[in-house]
Amino acid sequence: MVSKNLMYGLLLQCLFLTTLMAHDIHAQIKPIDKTYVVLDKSEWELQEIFKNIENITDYKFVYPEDILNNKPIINTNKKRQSVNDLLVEIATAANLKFKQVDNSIYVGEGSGKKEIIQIEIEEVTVSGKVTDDKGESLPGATITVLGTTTGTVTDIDGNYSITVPDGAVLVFSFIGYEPIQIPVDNQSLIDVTLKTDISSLEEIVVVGYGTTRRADLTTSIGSLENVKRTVDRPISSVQDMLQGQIAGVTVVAGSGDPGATPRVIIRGVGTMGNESPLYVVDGMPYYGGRINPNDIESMVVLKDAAAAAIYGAQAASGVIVITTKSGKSGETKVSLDFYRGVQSAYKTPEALNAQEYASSYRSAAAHAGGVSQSAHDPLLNPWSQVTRTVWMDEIFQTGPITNANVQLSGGSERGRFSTSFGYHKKEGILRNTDFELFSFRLKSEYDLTDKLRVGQNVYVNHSTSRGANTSSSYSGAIINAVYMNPAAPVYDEFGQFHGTVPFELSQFAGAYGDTYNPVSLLLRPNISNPRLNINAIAYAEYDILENLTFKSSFSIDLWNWSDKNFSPRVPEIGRPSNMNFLNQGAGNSSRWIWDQQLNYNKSFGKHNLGLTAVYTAQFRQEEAFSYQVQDFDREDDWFQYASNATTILRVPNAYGNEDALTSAIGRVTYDYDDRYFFMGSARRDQTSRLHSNTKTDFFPALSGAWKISSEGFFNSSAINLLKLRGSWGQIGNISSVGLYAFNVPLASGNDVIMGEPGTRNRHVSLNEMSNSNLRWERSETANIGLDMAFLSNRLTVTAEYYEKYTRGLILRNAPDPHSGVPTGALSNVGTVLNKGIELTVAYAGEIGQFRYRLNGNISTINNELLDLDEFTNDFIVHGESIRGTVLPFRSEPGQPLFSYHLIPHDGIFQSAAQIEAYVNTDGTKIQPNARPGDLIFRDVSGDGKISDDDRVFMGNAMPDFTYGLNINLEYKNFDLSIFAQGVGGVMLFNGYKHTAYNAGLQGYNLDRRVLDAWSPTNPNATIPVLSTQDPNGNFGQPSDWYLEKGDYLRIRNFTLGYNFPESLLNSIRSGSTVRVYLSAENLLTITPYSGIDPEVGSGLVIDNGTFPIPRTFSAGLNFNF
Amino acid sequence: MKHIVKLCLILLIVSSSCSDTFTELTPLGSPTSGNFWQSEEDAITAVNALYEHWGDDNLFGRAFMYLIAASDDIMQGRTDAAAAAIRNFQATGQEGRMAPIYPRMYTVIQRANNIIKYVPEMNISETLKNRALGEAYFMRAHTYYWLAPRYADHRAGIPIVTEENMEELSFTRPASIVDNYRQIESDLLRAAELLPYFNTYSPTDLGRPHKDAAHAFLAKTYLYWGHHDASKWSSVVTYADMVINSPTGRALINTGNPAEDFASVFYVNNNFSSEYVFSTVSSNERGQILPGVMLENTGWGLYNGWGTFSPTLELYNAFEEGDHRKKATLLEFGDSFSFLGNPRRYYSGNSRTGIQVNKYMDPYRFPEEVHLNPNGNYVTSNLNIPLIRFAEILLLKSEALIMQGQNGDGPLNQVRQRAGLASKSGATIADLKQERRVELAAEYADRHLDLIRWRDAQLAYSKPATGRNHFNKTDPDSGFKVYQVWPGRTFNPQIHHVWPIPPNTIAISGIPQNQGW
Repeated sequence: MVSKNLMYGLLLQCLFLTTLMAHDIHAQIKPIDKTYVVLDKSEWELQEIFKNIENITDYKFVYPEDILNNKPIINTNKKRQSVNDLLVEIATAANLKFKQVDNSIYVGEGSGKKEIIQIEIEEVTVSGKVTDDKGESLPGATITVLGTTTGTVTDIDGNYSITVPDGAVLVFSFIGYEPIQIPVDNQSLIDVTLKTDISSLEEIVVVGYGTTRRADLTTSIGSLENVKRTVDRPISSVQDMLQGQIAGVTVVAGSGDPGATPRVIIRGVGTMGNESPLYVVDGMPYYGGRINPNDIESMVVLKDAAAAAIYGAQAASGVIVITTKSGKSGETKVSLDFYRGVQSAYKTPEALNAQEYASSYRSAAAHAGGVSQSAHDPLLNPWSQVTRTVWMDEIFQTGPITNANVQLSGGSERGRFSTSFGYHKKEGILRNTDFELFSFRLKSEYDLTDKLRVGQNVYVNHSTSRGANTSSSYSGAIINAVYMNPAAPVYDEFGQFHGTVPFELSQFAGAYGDTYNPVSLLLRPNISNPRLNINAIAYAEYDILENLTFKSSFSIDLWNWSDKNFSPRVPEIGRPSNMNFLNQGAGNSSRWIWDQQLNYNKSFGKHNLGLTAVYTAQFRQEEAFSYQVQDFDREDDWFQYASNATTILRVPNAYGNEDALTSAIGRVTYDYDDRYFFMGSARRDQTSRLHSNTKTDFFPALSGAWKISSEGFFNSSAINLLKLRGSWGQIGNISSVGLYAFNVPLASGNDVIMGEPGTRNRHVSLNEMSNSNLRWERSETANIGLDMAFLSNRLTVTAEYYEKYTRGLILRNAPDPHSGVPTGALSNVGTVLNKGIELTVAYAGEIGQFRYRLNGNISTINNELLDLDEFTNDFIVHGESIRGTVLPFRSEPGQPLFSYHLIPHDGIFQSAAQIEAYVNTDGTKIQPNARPGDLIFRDVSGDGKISDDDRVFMGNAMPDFTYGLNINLEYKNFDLSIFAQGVGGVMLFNGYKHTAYNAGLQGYNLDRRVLDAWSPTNPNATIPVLSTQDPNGNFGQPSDWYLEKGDYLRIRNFTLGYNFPESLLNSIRSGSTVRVYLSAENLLTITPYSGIDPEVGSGLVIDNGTFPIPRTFSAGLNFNF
Repeated sequence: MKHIVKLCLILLIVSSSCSDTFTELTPLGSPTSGNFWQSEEDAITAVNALYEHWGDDNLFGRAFMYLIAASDDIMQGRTDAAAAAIRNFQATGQEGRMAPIYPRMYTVIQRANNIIKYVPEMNISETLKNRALGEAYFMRAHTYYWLAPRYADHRAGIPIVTEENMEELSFTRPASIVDNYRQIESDLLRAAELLPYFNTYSPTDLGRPHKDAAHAFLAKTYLYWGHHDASKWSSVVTYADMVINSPTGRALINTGNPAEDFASVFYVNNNFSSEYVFSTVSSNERGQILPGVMLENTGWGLYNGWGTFSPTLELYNAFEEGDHRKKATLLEFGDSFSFLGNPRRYYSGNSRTGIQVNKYMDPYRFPEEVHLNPNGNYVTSNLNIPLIRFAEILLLKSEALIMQGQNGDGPLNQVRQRAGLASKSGATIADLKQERRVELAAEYADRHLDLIRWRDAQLAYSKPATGRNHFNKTDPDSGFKVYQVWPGRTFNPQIHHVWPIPPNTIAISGIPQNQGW
């Protein structure tokens, strides 16, 4: 908080410095031209009139007695006039002159010159140092004389010196700190310590191509509180940092995969495409690698269209504006941040043991009326009765996490720098999964002249990650740990991976399904996938005129990646494959962005006007290749190179693409008297992704605010701020448009076998439709907000209501299957509305040395597909499925996008009589194939059978509301923070049950909960009867049996910190700080969801046993000197 | 102010001069519809795409076999509720085992339509043009030939998509399957005109459609059509004779060694023997997984067989005494065979009937590297799988003759003699049915459709399927007990003669579902 405010303060100070210094110094003494008198008669003796003025003002006249001799009677009118005017009149009439020194007015003989009144004020010089509550000097703090615009600012070391009239009162202020008033009296040295302002209203927030005070905002913006503490959490990405912190920003982890990046959704799902917000780092759109959280100074989310409009085409899903730490003039500072922790799974599924496995399948076969497989017979296959492995324990591990960061910063008066090096490594909680990031940043700025500033910011990052497939119902690591035969050991006697059965018992293999040894799934492939990214920004800024600035920024983003995956032979029984493969590929991409920006700011009295014009262009190109070779004699690491392969089956795959975008933007901001605020912008975007007829489009935005609390009539000491604001705007969305959607390349391969002997032939076909009429998708947001502050800004409340329309929603049109083109064209198919309410409340207070701050937010999201006017059908059936069989998702107007469309079920049949009696109005038996223990499906259509006609809509995976609560406490040297976060109104499709509860597949082992499956003696079960056949479609029907509530409340983080006492540290270096802390991430989860983790994703997600979010305990150190 | 004006001007010039061409980009990496259809290579690669699905698990790899496994000859070899739903006629149509069939077959039709639309205008050699068009007409017809009898009936055909209406956004079902047959007929007639004879292809092009194949499928289409229109029986004979009398010398493999001759039809070396008419082409890199699908589950720990289908004891018992085809078609406990180059005697802990299909075992007789794909997830081999072969042409002719009240003995007895059986005289339709069953068991000739068109399905399927439950499943000499593997099923000839169109297709296209499903 402190250093953030410091930086903005500096920035703002630089902007206003000139205006401040332009004023002359005036006395605190009431000037004679501002002091009025009314005289009660028109004819005066001089002495008489001086006495009279002395009586009604503070002035004293000082004169030699003789000077009043021979002076005429003064005639003056009786109206109200200033002392100055009166004295001028007297001087002219009596040939006198006056000299004011403080409150004394000296009278002398006139010289006939113009300067008849000389004013001279006695002054004192005050100097001192301004520091913050941590003892750090505050350069750029403002010192003004109360009641005047006179003042100065502190230098780099926080020192100031000011000459003021005797008796003046000084006001010390700095953005982000509470201002303080000190009377000068007779002091010549005044040192001041400013306290941090606990309200955020004075905070300067970065908006598109500029900054503004939070209290003056017209648009909807949320900012991340307490960045400094957030980065101490054992997290890996900026997305992690945002989760639960800002109303209207939904972050869904989706997976605990160490390399996974959570998904950020700002104000609901509008498009099916790449629903990712735009990241802007230090003023330029950012497409680079993971940002080192320790580099982040502040993070602001632009939520409504009017706020984001300036960033246009890529901003339709919101903008996340990140400012990285800058150096500041002064001594070079060093920060060391380090933490280390351990991660573990807080909940794992449990599979049947060997005996339970065999007996469950015996009863399942018996129920189906078939003969049990001999593999499960203890007499024929005694091997199968001994549990040798608990597979779940074999795939999970305790994963360490380490983060280290060092930052150096400093500068002279003319230049500032900051450089950092970060290292982040975490191992996943599934074996052999990890993520590692090296990052390096160098940022500097120079004031070359008073008018010319240049700067640069280079970020180099290198990451490697190794994840695990957990999403596939066939080859997912977790689901295979359920499937795998518990009688099998992990390794055989030769140290090789063991199959479902030993080779000598291969005749039983069929009973155990085509299961992978789950440990081999994690350990066997040799994967490397380094990614190198360089992201660099350079800019120059020039003040053409006092109020007109030109800025040119250029950024380049370079990516280089390679993927190498060696899959050894799989000899063991289960899914054997006597072939090894090497898949290798590499690619690179580059993108440049060039912004030209003109800014004009001018104040006319109480009117403030700002004009901004931007022209920006960006171009991206990408090229990559990949190939597969196979049949390696040996599988040693050193042999895994393509030149050692015996066979190349396919021609290497290669692709390239390009993407260009240009935009011209204009913006006007205007405010009047701190009461009325207005902003309007317009932009024209042009993209290479659309046909020339539709590639250019125009998008406007407007916003305004009325600060009622600044009005003259508003006079409440309890309410410090009351502001009403509204905005409306449109943004084009390019991210949902395919690169060449107007002219899709044909698909090719060389997989067609022809001839004798059969050889490969090249083939080309049309697999996707093009759409030359594709238009920009348009996101339109209207927003009403109310900002309030009470109790000396201790309590702040922001409430908002928004409606966000996505018009011309781009989705892949589902082609009529008879057209024979498997993939439909991207098309503007309809309209989606997201609307919601967002409420943020913060309160800060202190009781003695105990300081506390509470910050809570809650937001609702209501998503509805309004129409599908240009879709080929009245609804969209989404292809996401469990094993191609159960397709739960449908989008239809009137319903949320990606809704579940399922057949309701009403429990389980208890008896044959109940099945017989289950008829429709015509007497038709609705489920003739059912047996007791099968699910009762509801015949919604009443047609006497269970079919797709019986499906009804049942919500979606997107939360109806999300909330977060931060509690920060400080007492003496201790700090404690608790962060809780949750979602509600989420429905999740637990596809895991399809295989893990189902004995009708290939004979896989099952989840231990099937021991509670229905049987005549267990009539209250919710799991249908175990059977190797499923004529009722218990598992095959897309029913709500799979659907579960996915609400959760998580104690996301708990941190306890201790700051070493200053006295101890001043010996190292004055101003040093050391803090140590303990942190627990994902301490507690409360959820009704029966799957492994409720955070499986949002949208078209089926949970087949997803990588769970780890629980992490860590300890860390912050050291600044 | 001068500076501002200058700057604005510069900005304006920069923005207007580069923007339009700056955002005008040509797709990289692959041709697009706009710049394709130029060279001979374009025509050839477009035609090749017609056969991409020979390597598709979800079509001829095994999906069609799941439908054939609804018959009384073979059944699912593994626990599989979705496959069981198909066999029990309780499927929804969305089962992963069958749902891909319908839409994927229509992609072949689309590819053929594009060729038929664009190739005639291309500036390429006339020979290549004719061949390309011939292949496209053939494959379009062939695709409808597979779809129509499985998804269409006298109450509704399946949508006919041709080069003329392919750009339309939606399609409707024609009145009857006969509309589909007419389309197939016309396409095959054109294909027969345009295509060369099989023996004029170079070795690298073997496997492409040819005149005999067009005639063969005409004959079989008329056979199906004959059940709707008796006037078509004579056409069966006409086109069967065109194949029988083909100058390419189509004939049964008959060296007078019945013990070997029938089995050798399915040898890798005989992929293009005299008995070849039309097959899915395969190699040990890509193509047909059917041999691996039929092989013992996990292949006794030596190769990843899938054991997906098991022949029934009813099929085993259908063979007459002395029929050499029995051993060539089925493996039972104790049978000696060569497996991956080593002698072995058959036993199985996985086969639910104690029997395995033997027809496609030739690639497994040799060491793995000779004919097999070492990738256990894609178990292809060098064996091509016949879609129609010469013996079936003889049986088509015989059946059509009998159906017309004529004598069908000649072609029928050719097939019987090769199998080492005595000739029949005055063969009845029952004799013909028996012959088709044992000659074409577990092949794409499709026993299930035969039973339906003969109206024998309801009775046949009401009987349970049986198998042998061996006392010791690892002992080739083990005794067994016959047991019921699958109970009798309810087949409603008003409903179950066709399959449900996938509900997803119904939902998107809006066409009506087959009645009763």
